[in-house]
Amino acid sequence: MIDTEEELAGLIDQTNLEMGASEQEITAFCERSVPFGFRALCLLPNLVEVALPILGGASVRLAACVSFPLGLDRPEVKAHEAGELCDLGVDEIDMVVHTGRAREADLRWVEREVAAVRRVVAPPRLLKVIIEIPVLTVELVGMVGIAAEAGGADLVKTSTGYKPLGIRATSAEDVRLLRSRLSPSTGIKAAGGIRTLEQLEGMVAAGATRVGASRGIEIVEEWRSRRAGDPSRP
Amino acid sequence: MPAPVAPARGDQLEGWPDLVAPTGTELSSAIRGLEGAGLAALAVDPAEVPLARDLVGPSAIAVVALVAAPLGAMTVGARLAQAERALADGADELAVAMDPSLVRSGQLGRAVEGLIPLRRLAAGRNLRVICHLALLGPGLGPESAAGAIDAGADVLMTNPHFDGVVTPEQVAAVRRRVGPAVVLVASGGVTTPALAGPLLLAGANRVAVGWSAFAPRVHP
Repeated sequence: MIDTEEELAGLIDQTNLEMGASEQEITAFCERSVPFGFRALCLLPNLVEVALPILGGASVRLAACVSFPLGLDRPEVKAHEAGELCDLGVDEIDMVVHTGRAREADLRWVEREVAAVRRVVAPPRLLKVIIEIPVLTVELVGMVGIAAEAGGADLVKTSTGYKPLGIRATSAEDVRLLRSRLSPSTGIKAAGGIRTLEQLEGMVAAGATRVGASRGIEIVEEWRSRRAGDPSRP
Repeated sequence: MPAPVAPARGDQLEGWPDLVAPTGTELSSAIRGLEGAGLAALAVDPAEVPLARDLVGPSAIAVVALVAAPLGAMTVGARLAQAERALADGADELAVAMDPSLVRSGQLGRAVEGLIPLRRLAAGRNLRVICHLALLGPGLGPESAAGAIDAGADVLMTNPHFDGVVTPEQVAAVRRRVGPAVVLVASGGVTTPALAGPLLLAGANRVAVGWSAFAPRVHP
Protein backbone atom coordinates (compact mmCIF):
# COMPACT_ATOMS: atom_id res chain seq x y z
CA MET A 1 0.00 0.00 0.00
CA ILE A 2 1.40 3.37 -1.03
CA ASP A 3 0.04 6.01 1.34
CA THR A 4 1.62 9.26 0.24
CA GLU A 5 2.94 10.94 -2.86
CA GLU A 6 6.36 11.14 -1.21
CA GLU A 7 6.32 7.42 -0.67
CA LEU A 8 5.38 6.84 -4.30
CA ALA A 9 8.05 9.17 -5.68
CA GLY A 10 10.59 7.60 -3.32
CA LEU A 11 10.06 4.26 -5.06
CA ILE A 12 10.75 5.57 -8.55
CA ASP A 13 13.97 5.84 -10.53
CA GLN A 14 12.88 8.40 -13.09
CA THR A 15 14.69 7.26 -16.20
CA ASN A 16 15.91 8.65 -19.51
CA LEU A 17 18.01 6.18 -21.49
CA GLU A 18 17.10 7.41 -24.95
CA MET A 19 19.88 6.92 -27.46
CA GLY A 20 21.13 10.30 -28.59
CA ALA A 21 19.21 12.38 -26.06
CA SER A 22 20.69 15.87 -26.31
CA GLU A 23 22.16 17.83 -23.45
CA GLN A 24 19.29 20.26 -23.74
CA GLU A 25 16.75 17.44 -23.49
CA ILE A 26 18.49 15.98 -20.45
CA THR A 27 18.65 19.39 -18.78
CA ALA A 28 14.90 19.81 -19.30
CA PHE A 29 14.27 16.25 -18.09
CA CYS A 30 16.22 16.86 -14.88
CA GLU A 31 14.70 20.27 -14.19
CA ARG A 32 11.21 18.88 -14.67
CA SER A 33 11.86 15.76 -12.59
CA VAL A 34 13.66 17.15 -9.55
CA PRO A 35 10.61 18.83 -7.93
CA PHE A 36 8.80 15.48 -7.84
CA GLY A 37 11.24 14.08 -5.29
CA PHE A 38 11.99 10.83 -7.09
CA ARG A 39 14.42 8.45 -5.43
CA ALA A 40 16.86 8.79 -8.30
CA LEU A 41 17.27 9.95 -11.86
CA CYS A 42 18.74 7.24 -14.07
CA LEU A 43 20.79 8.29 -17.12
CA LEU A 44 23.33 7.07 -19.65
CA PRO A 45 26.99 7.68 -18.75
CA ASN A 46 27.71 10.37 -21.36
CA LEU A 47 25.02 12.64 -19.87
CA VAL A 48 25.94 12.38 -16.19
CA GLU A 49 27.97 15.57 -16.24
CA VAL A 50 24.99 17.46 -17.63
CA ALA A 51 22.79 16.33 -14.73
CA LEU A 52 25.20 16.78 -11.83
CA PRO A 53 25.02 20.59 -11.53
CA ILE A 54 21.22 20.48 -11.75
CA LEU A 55 20.94 17.90 -8.98
CA GLY A 56 23.45 19.62 -6.69
CA GLY A 57 21.72 20.13 -3.36
CA ALA A 58 18.56 18.24 -4.30
CA SER A 59 17.65 15.09 -2.42
CA VAL A 60 17.24 13.10 -5.62
CA ARG A 61 20.13 10.74 -6.30
CA LEU A 62 21.89 10.21 -9.61
CA ALA A 63 22.13 6.73 -11.12
CA ALA A 64 24.02 5.77 -14.26
CA CYS A 65 24.08 2.61 -16.33
CA VAL A 66 27.16 0.48 -16.96
CA SER A 67 27.62 -1.81 -19.97
CA PHE A 68 24.16 -0.78 -21.08
CA PRO A 69 22.21 -2.26 -22.77
CA LEU A 70 23.88 -5.53 -23.80
CA GLY A 71 26.25 -6.27 -20.91
CA LEU A 72 28.77 -7.75 -23.35
CA ASP A 73 31.91 -6.40 -21.73
CA ARG A 74 34.74 -7.97 -19.79
CA PRO A 75 34.42 -7.56 -15.99
CA GLU A 76 37.42 -5.24 -15.78
CA VAL A 77 35.92 -2.95 -18.42
CA LYS A 78 32.65 -2.78 -16.50
CA ALA A 79 34.60 -1.95 -13.34
CA HIS A 80 36.51 0.76 -15.18
CA GLU A 81 33.31 2.37 -16.43
CA ALA A 82 31.68 2.18 -12.99
CA GLY A 83 34.78 3.64 -11.33
CA GLU A 84 34.81 6.60 -13.72
CA LEU A 85 31.15 7.29 -13.01
CA CYS A 86 31.68 7.12 -9.26
CA ASP A 87 34.61 9.53 -9.59
CA LEU A 88 32.30 11.93 -11.41
CA GLY A 89 29.88 11.82 -8.48
CA VAL A 90 27.21 9.28 -9.37
CA ASP A 91 25.35 7.82 -6.36
CA GLU A 92 24.09 4.58 -7.88
CA ILE A 93 25.23 2.21 -10.63
CA ASP A 94 22.87 0.05 -12.72
CA MET A 95 25.11 -2.56 -14.35
CA VAL A 96 24.04 -5.14 -16.92
CA VAL A 97 25.36 -8.68 -16.53
CA HIS A 98 26.73 -10.59 -19.52
CA THR A 99 23.38 -11.97 -20.61
CA GLY A 100 24.85 -14.70 -22.80
CA ARG A 101 26.87 -16.04 -19.87
CA ALA A 102 23.76 -15.82 -17.71
CA ARG A 103 21.76 -17.81 -20.26
CA GLU A 104 24.33 -20.59 -20.22
CA ALA A 105 24.35 -20.60 -16.38
CA ASP A 106 27.95 -19.42 -16.11
CA LEU A 107 27.25 -18.22 -12.59
CA ARG A 108 30.90 -17.82 -11.67
CA TRP A 109 31.26 -15.28 -14.48
CA VAL A 110 28.21 -13.36 -13.26
CA GLU A 111 29.38 -13.34 -9.65
CA ARG A 112 32.90 -12.33 -10.71
CA GLU A 113 31.76 -9.40 -12.86
CA VAL A 114 29.40 -8.13 -10.18
CA ALA A 115 32.15 -8.42 -7.56
CA ALA A 116 34.56 -6.52 -9.84
CA VAL A 117 32.11 -3.63 -10.08
CA ARG A 118 31.23 -3.82 -6.38
CA ARG A 119 34.87 -3.24 -5.52
CA VAL A 120 34.75 0.21 -7.11
CA VAL A 121 31.15 1.04 -6.10
CA ALA A 122 31.79 1.31 -2.39
CA PRO A 123 28.87 1.91 0.01
CA PRO A 124 27.02 4.18 0.52
CA ARG A 125 26.88 4.07 -3.25
CA LEU A 126 24.33 1.53 -4.41
CA LEU A 127 24.93 -1.24 -6.92
CA LYS A 128 21.95 -2.48 -8.93
CA VAL A 129 22.49 -5.50 -11.17
CA ILE A 130 20.32 -5.99 -14.26
CA ILE A 131 19.79 -9.67 -15.10
CA GLU A 132 17.44 -9.33 -18.13
CA ILE A 133 14.81 -11.77 -16.90
CA PRO A 134 12.85 -11.82 -20.20
CA VAL A 135 15.64 -13.87 -21.84
CA LEU A 136 16.12 -16.25 -18.90
CA THR A 137 14.30 -19.43 -17.96
CA VAL A 138 12.44 -19.57 -14.65
CA GLU A 139 15.21 -21.72 -13.19
CA LEU A 140 17.92 -19.33 -14.35
CA VAL A 141 16.23 -16.25 -12.88
CA GLY A 142 16.84 -17.54 -9.37
CA MET A 143 20.34 -18.81 -10.10
CA VAL A 144 21.52 -15.63 -11.78
CA GLY A 145 19.83 -13.43 -9.17
CA ILE A 146 21.62 -15.30 -6.39
CA ALA A 147 24.94 -15.02 -8.23
CA ALA A 148 24.41 -11.26 -8.49
CA GLU A 149 23.62 -11.16 -4.78
CA ALA A 150 26.75 -13.16 -4.00
CA GLY A 151 28.80 -10.70 -6.04
CA GLY A 152 27.55 -7.84 -3.88
CA ALA A 153 24.41 -6.45 -5.53
CA ASP A 154 22.31 -4.18 -3.32
CA LEU A 155 19.37 -4.57 -5.68
CA VAL A 156 18.69 -6.97 -8.51
CA LYS A 157 16.95 -5.34 -11.45
CA THR A 158 14.59 -7.22 -13.73
CA SER A 159 15.36 -5.86 -17.19
CA THR A 160 17.08 -3.19 -19.25
CA GLY A 161 13.78 -2.31 -20.90
CA TYR A 162 15.79 -1.69 -24.09
CA LYS A 163 13.10 -1.84 -26.74
CA PRO A 164 15.18 -2.66 -29.86
CA LEU A 165 15.95 -6.09 -28.38
CA GLY A 166 12.29 -6.93 -28.88
CA ILE A 167 11.97 -8.61 -25.50
CA ARG A 168 8.79 -8.59 -23.43
CA ALA A 169 8.06 -6.16 -20.62
CA THR A 170 8.77 -7.04 -17.00
CA SER A 171 5.84 -8.68 -15.22
CA ALA A 172 4.78 -8.82 -11.58
CA GLU A 173 5.37 -12.56 -11.84
CA ASP A 174 9.05 -11.87 -12.64
CA VAL A 175 9.30 -9.82 -9.46
CA ARG A 176 7.52 -12.46 -7.36
CA LEU A 177 9.86 -15.13 -8.68
CA LEU A 178 12.93 -13.07 -7.91
CA ARG A 179 11.61 -12.16 -4.46
CA SER A 180 11.13 -15.83 -3.64
CA ARG A 181 14.77 -16.60 -4.48
CA LEU A 182 16.69 -13.64 -3.05
CA SER A 183 17.54 -12.83 0.54
CA PRO A 184 15.08 -10.39 2.15
CA SER A 185 17.85 -7.82 2.54
CA THR A 186 18.42 -7.62 -1.24
CA GLY A 187 16.22 -5.09 -2.97
CA ILE A 188 14.45 -5.61 -6.28
CA LYS A 189 14.15 -2.96 -8.95
CA ALA A 190 11.37 -3.65 -11.43
CA ALA A 191 12.03 -2.04 -14.81
CA GLY A 192 11.01 -2.49 -18.42
CA GLY A 193 7.66 -1.37 -19.76
CA ILE A 194 6.20 0.02 -16.52
CA ARG A 195 4.07 2.91 -17.68
CA THR A 196 1.12 3.24 -15.29
CA LEU A 197 0.36 3.58 -11.58
CA GLU A 198 -1.51 0.30 -11.62
CA GLN A 199 1.52 -1.51 -13.07
CA LEU A 200 3.78 0.10 -10.48
CA GLU A 201 1.48 -0.93 -7.64
CA GLY A 202 1.48 -4.48 -8.99
CA MET A 203 5.26 -4.57 -8.96
CA VAL A 204 5.44 -3.24 -5.42
CA ALA A 205 2.82 -5.73 -4.22
CA ALA A 206 4.93 -8.48 -5.80
CA GLY A 207 8.00 -7.39 -3.85
CA ALA A 208 9.72 -4.59 -5.78
CA THR A 209 11.48 -2.05 -3.59
CA ARG A 210 12.29 0.26 -6.49
CA VAL A 211 10.70 0.84 -9.89
CA GLY A 212 12.42 2.21 -12.96
CA ALA A 213 10.18 4.20 -15.29
CA SER A 214 10.59 6.77 -18.02
CA ARG A 215 7.07 7.97 -17.21
CA GLY A 216 7.58 8.68 -13.51
CA ILE A 217 6.02 12.12 -13.74
CA GLU A 218 2.89 10.77 -15.43
CA ILE A 219 2.63 8.05 -12.79
CA VAL A 220 2.77 10.59 -9.95
CA GLU A 221 0.24 12.77 -11.77
CA GLU A 222 -2.01 9.72 -12.13
CA TRP A 223 -1.75 9.24 -8.37
CA ARG A 224 -2.72 12.89 -7.81
CA SER A 225 -5.73 12.53 -10.11
CA ARG A 226 -6.85 9.44 -8.29
CA ARG A 227 -6.55 11.24 -4.96
CA ALA A 228 -8.43 14.26 -6.29
CA GLY A 229 -11.25 12.01 -7.50
CA ASP A 230 -11.50 10.09 -4.23
CA PRO A 231 -9.61 11.72 -1.34
CA SER A 232 -10.36 8.79 0.96
CA ARG A 233 -8.51 6.42 -1.33
CA PRO A 234 -4.80 6.06 -0.86
CA MET B 1 11.98 -1.17 -66.12
CA PRO B 2 14.92 -0.71 -63.68
CA ALA B 3 17.96 -2.89 -64.25
CA PRO B 4 18.12 -5.93 -61.94
CA VAL B 5 20.46 -5.51 -59.00
CA ALA B 6 23.32 -8.01 -59.00
CA PRO B 7 23.56 -10.23 -55.91
CA ALA B 8 26.31 -9.27 -53.49
CA ARG B 9 29.53 -11.28 -53.45
CA GLY B 10 30.75 -12.75 -50.16
CA ASP B 11 33.64 -10.28 -50.01
CA GLN B 12 31.13 -7.41 -50.16
CA LEU B 13 29.42 -8.65 -46.99
CA GLU B 14 30.28 -8.55 -43.30
CA GLY B 15 28.72 -10.25 -40.28
CA TRP B 16 26.84 -7.96 -37.91
CA PRO B 17 25.63 -9.13 -34.48
CA ASP B 18 21.86 -9.38 -34.21
CA LEU B 19 21.36 -12.27 -31.78
CA VAL B 20 19.89 -11.31 -28.41
CA ALA B 21 21.98 -12.57 -25.49
CA PRO B 22 23.75 -15.35 -27.42
CA THR B 23 25.45 -18.11 -25.48
CA GLY B 24 28.96 -19.23 -26.37
CA THR B 25 27.53 -22.21 -28.23
CA GLU B 26 25.21 -20.00 -30.26
CA LEU B 27 28.04 -17.59 -31.00
CA SER B 28 30.29 -20.40 -32.14
CA SER B 29 27.60 -21.74 -34.43
CA ALA B 30 26.95 -18.28 -35.88
CA ILE B 31 30.63 -17.55 -36.46
CA ARG B 32 31.16 -20.90 -38.21
CA GLY B 33 28.20 -20.09 -40.45
CA LEU B 34 29.71 -16.71 -41.25
CA GLU B 35 33.07 -18.27 -42.10
CA GLY B 36 31.35 -20.63 -44.48
CA ALA B 37 29.76 -17.69 -46.29
CA GLY B 38 33.18 -16.26 -47.15
CA LEU B 39 32.55 -12.86 -45.54
CA ALA B 40 35.14 -10.11 -45.42
CA ALA B 41 34.77 -9.22 -41.75
CA LEU B 42 32.92 -10.14 -38.61
CA ALA B 43 31.88 -7.58 -36.00
CA VAL B 44 31.47 -8.71 -32.40
CA ASP B 45 30.66 -7.16 -29.05
CA PRO B 46 33.84 -6.65 -27.03
CA ALA B 47 33.46 -9.53 -24.57
CA GLU B 48 33.19 -11.92 -27.53
CA VAL B 49 36.48 -10.97 -29.19
CA PRO B 50 38.48 -13.85 -27.64
CA LEU B 51 35.97 -16.44 -28.85
CA ALA B 52 35.78 -14.91 -32.33
CA ARG B 53 39.58 -14.73 -32.53
CA ASP B 54 39.91 -18.39 -31.54
CA LEU B 55 37.31 -19.54 -34.03
CA VAL B 56 38.40 -17.41 -36.96
CA GLY B 57 42.13 -17.89 -36.41
CA PRO B 58 44.53 -16.11 -38.74
CA SER B 59 42.07 -16.27 -41.64
CA ALA B 60 41.15 -13.55 -44.10
CA ILE B 61 38.09 -12.59 -42.04
CA ALA B 62 38.80 -9.48 -39.98
CA VAL B 63 37.54 -9.54 -36.37
CA VAL B 64 36.05 -6.12 -35.69
CA ALA B 65 35.42 -5.16 -32.05
CA LEU B 66 32.44 -2.92 -31.42
CA VAL B 67 33.21 -0.05 -29.04
CA ALA B 68 30.56 2.00 -27.20
CA ALA B 69 27.94 0.33 -29.35
CA PRO B 70 25.07 0.41 -29.87
CA LEU B 71 24.26 3.63 -28.01
CA GLY B 72 27.51 5.60 -28.29
CA ALA B 73 26.90 6.67 -24.70
CA MET B 74 30.11 5.66 -22.94
CA THR B 75 32.55 8.23 -21.62
CA VAL B 76 35.79 8.68 -23.55
CA GLY B 77 37.79 6.97 -20.80
CA ALA B 78 35.49 3.93 -20.72
CA ARG B 79 35.63 3.65 -24.52
CA LEU B 80 39.40 3.59 -24.35
CA ALA B 81 39.40 0.89 -21.68
CA GLN B 82 36.97 -1.18 -23.74
CA ALA B 83 39.01 -0.72 -26.94
CA GLU B 84 42.36 -1.49 -25.27
CA ARG B 85 40.97 -4.72 -23.91
CA ALA B 86 39.48 -5.71 -27.27
CA LEU B 87 42.80 -5.14 -29.05
CA ALA B 88 44.64 -7.11 -26.37
CA ASP B 89 42.12 -9.91 -26.91
CA GLY B 90 42.96 -10.06 -30.61
CA ALA B 91 40.66 -7.67 -32.48
CA ASP B 92 41.92 -6.68 -35.92
CA GLU B 93 39.87 -3.49 -36.15
CA LEU B 94 37.75 -1.22 -33.95
CA ALA B 95 34.26 0.05 -34.82
CA VAL B 96 33.44 2.94 -32.51
CA ALA B 97 29.97 4.38 -32.11
CA MET B 98 30.16 8.16 -32.21
CA ASP B 99 28.44 10.00 -29.34
CA PRO B 100 25.08 10.96 -30.91
CA SER B 101 24.07 13.05 -27.90
CA LEU B 102 26.94 15.44 -28.55
CA VAL B 103 26.06 15.65 -32.23
CA ARG B 104 22.40 16.36 -31.43
CA SER B 105 23.51 18.92 -28.83
CA GLY B 106 25.27 20.97 -31.52
CA GLN B 107 28.71 19.76 -30.38
CA LEU B 108 29.96 17.74 -33.31
CA GLY B 109 33.46 19.05 -32.60
CA ARG B 110 33.49 17.41 -29.16
CA ALA B 111 32.17 14.16 -30.62
CA VAL B 112 35.01 14.22 -33.16
CA GLU B 113 37.59 15.05 -30.46
CA GLY B 114 36.41 12.00 -28.54
CA LEU B 115 37.50 9.81 -31.45
CA ILE B 116 41.10 11.07 -31.49
CA PRO B 117 42.41 8.92 -28.57
CA LEU B 118 40.88 5.87 -30.23
CA ARG B 119 42.57 6.79 -33.51
CA ARG B 120 45.89 6.85 -31.67
CA LEU B 121 45.16 3.58 -29.91
CA ALA B 122 44.27 1.84 -33.16
CA ALA B 123 47.49 2.93 -34.87
CA GLY B 124 48.21 0.62 -37.77
CA ARG B 125 44.74 -0.94 -37.66
CA ASN B 126 41.48 0.17 -39.19
CA LEU B 127 39.42 2.58 -37.12
CA ARG B 128 35.80 2.42 -38.14
CA VAL B 129 33.25 4.95 -36.93
CA ILE B 130 29.56 4.17 -36.61
CA CYS B 131 27.68 7.33 -37.58
CA HIS B 132 24.06 6.82 -36.35
CA LEU B 133 22.58 8.00 -39.63
CA ALA B 134 19.07 6.71 -38.91
CA LEU B 135 18.98 8.64 -35.64
CA LEU B 136 20.71 11.80 -36.81
CA GLY B 137 18.83 12.20 -40.08
CA PRO B 138 19.85 13.65 -43.44
CA GLY B 139 21.29 16.87 -42.01
CA LEU B 140 23.42 15.84 -39.04
CA GLY B 141 24.14 12.29 -40.24
CA PRO B 142 26.40 13.07 -43.20
CA GLU B 143 28.07 15.84 -41.21
CA SER B 144 28.94 13.39 -38.43
CA ALA B 145 30.38 11.06 -41.09
CA ALA B 146 32.57 13.88 -42.42
CA GLY B 147 33.65 14.65 -38.85
CA ALA B 148 34.66 11.04 -38.37
CA ILE B 149 36.89 11.25 -41.45
CA ASP B 150 38.46 14.42 -40.02
CA ALA B 151 39.24 12.43 -36.86
CA GLY B 152 41.12 9.87 -38.93
CA ALA B 153 38.52 7.15 -39.48
CA ASP B 154 39.51 4.60 -42.11
CA VAL B 155 36.02 3.20 -42.57
CA LEU B 156 32.53 4.60 -41.96
CA MET B 157 29.58 2.49 -40.85
CA THR B 158 26.07 3.85 -41.14
CA ASN B 159 24.24 2.57 -38.01
CA PRO B 160 24.87 0.54 -34.85
CA HIS B 161 23.54 -2.94 -34.21
CA PHE B 162 20.01 -3.20 -32.80
CA ASP B 163 19.18 0.48 -33.29
CA GLY B 164 18.64 2.07 -36.68
CA VAL B 165 17.95 0.64 -40.12
CA VAL B 166 20.14 1.60 -43.06
CA THR B 167 18.56 2.82 -46.30
CA PRO B 168 20.00 3.49 -49.77
CA GLU B 169 19.21 7.18 -49.20
CA GLN B 170 21.45 7.28 -46.10
CA VAL B 171 24.27 5.61 -48.01
CA ALA B 172 23.95 7.95 -50.98
CA ALA B 173 23.91 11.03 -48.72
CA VAL B 174 27.11 10.01 -46.96
CA ARG B 175 28.79 9.07 -50.22
CA ARG B 176 27.98 12.51 -51.61
CA ARG B 177 29.35 14.19 -48.49
CA VAL B 178 32.62 12.26 -48.07
CA GLY B 179 33.48 11.50 -51.69
CA PRO B 180 34.34 8.30 -53.53
CA ALA B 181 37.59 7.34 -51.79
CA VAL B 182 36.19 6.64 -48.31
CA VAL B 183 35.33 3.03 -47.45
CA LEU B 184 31.66 2.92 -46.47
CA VAL B 185 29.92 -0.06 -44.88
CA ALA B 186 26.10 -0.04 -44.83
CA SER B 187 25.09 -1.36 -41.42
CA GLY B 188 21.97 -1.65 -39.31
CA GLY B 189 18.91 -3.81 -39.78
CA VAL B 190 20.07 -5.74 -42.86
CA THR B 191 18.66 -9.18 -42.20
CA THR B 192 19.59 -11.00 -45.41
CA PRO B 193 22.23 -10.74 -48.15
CA ALA B 194 19.38 -10.25 -50.61
CA LEU B 195 18.93 -6.71 -49.25
CA ALA B 196 22.54 -5.76 -49.98
CA GLY B 197 22.23 -4.95 -53.69
CA PRO B 198 20.48 -1.56 -53.47
CA LEU B 199 22.86 -0.46 -50.71
CA LEU B 200 25.89 -1.33 -52.82
CA LEU B 201 24.32 0.43 -55.77
CA ALA B 202 23.78 3.54 -53.62
CA GLY B 203 27.49 3.74 -52.88
CA ALA B 204 28.35 1.30 -50.09
CA ASN B 205 31.55 -0.70 -50.49
CA ARG B 206 30.25 -3.43 -48.22
CA VAL B 207 27.08 -4.35 -46.36
CA ALA B 208 26.89 -5.70 -42.80
CA VAL B 209 24.31 -8.48 -42.62
CA GLY B 210 22.84 -9.83 -39.38
CA TRP B 211 24.36 -13.10 -38.14
CA SER B 212 20.98 -14.74 -37.96
CA ALA B 213 20.87 -14.79 -41.77
CA PHE B 214 23.69 -17.32 -41.59
CA ALA B 215 22.96 -19.14 -38.33
CA PRO B 216 19.32 -18.85 -37.22
CA ARG B 217 18.53 -19.56 -33.62
CA VAL B 218 15.38 -20.21 -31.63
CA HIS B 219 14.85 -17.55 -28.98
CA PRO B 220 14.00 -18.84 -25.51
